[in-house]
Amino acid sequence: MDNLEKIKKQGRRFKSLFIFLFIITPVIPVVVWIFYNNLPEVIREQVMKQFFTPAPPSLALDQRIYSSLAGLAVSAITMAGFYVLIRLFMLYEKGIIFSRDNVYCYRKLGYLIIISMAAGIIQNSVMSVIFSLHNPPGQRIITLSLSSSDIAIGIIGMIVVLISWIMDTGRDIMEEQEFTV
Amino acid sequence: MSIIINLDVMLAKRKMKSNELAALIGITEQNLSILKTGKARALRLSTLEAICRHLHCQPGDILEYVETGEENKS
Repeated sequence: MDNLEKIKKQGRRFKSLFIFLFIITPVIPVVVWIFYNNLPEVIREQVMKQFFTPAPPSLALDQRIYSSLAGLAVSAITMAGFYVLIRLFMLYEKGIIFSRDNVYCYRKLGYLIIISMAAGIIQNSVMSVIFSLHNPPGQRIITLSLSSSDIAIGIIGMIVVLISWIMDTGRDIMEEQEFTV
Repeated sequence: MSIIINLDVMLAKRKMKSNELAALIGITEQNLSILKTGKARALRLSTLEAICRHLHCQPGDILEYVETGEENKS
C-alpha cells in the first residue's frame, strides 16, 4: 500500500471516529447533569473537581437542568470542532492534503480552540452561580477564574491559527511555482 | 485572470498541434495545457520568446488584456 493509500485509510477511520464523537458530545453533559445525584461516586468526584467552584454532592432538579444547558452550550463549540475535523479527514480520505480547504479547516480549529478557552471561563462562572443557587442570600457565589490551563489553551489556539496562515502562504507559493510555465 | 492567452487561435492559424509546439519549445504538454486553459499564474519570458519564435508571431498576438468586473468597479 503506498503512502497516499495509507493516508486515505487513516482519513476514513478518523472521519468515522469524529462522526461518532460529534453525535455523543451533546449527550454526555445532559446525561451527566440530569443523573448527577445517581452517578457512581468515582464519576461524581471527577465532575466535582472539574470546576473552579467545586460542585456540591447533590443538586436540585432546576440546578441539574441549568447545568445541562450550560454544558450543552459548551458542547456546541466542541461539536463545531468535531465537524471541522470530519471535513478535514474527509479531505484526507480523498487524498487531498495541502489544499486551500485543508488550510481553512486548520484555521477554523485554531479559532474554535480560542473560543473554547473563553467558553470554559464563562462556564466556570455560570456553574458557580448554579451551584450556589439554593444557598441562603448572602452566600451565593459568582466566580471568575483564569487558570494557567486556560491561557495554555488560548496560546495553542493562536499557534494553530498562525500555522494555518503559514501553510496557506506556502501553498500559494507552491501553486505559483506549479503554474509558472 | 485578466490576461487571456490566445494560443489556440495561433495554433490554428499556423496549423500546428499542441503537442508539436510543446516539443518545439521544450515544455510538457501538461504545462502547455495549463497555458491554454488560462490556469497559468506566470509566464517566463523565455517561454514566451520560444512560442513567438515557433509560431512566427508577436507577444501581442498571444496575450490579451481584458477588463474584468472588479477592475471596472475601481
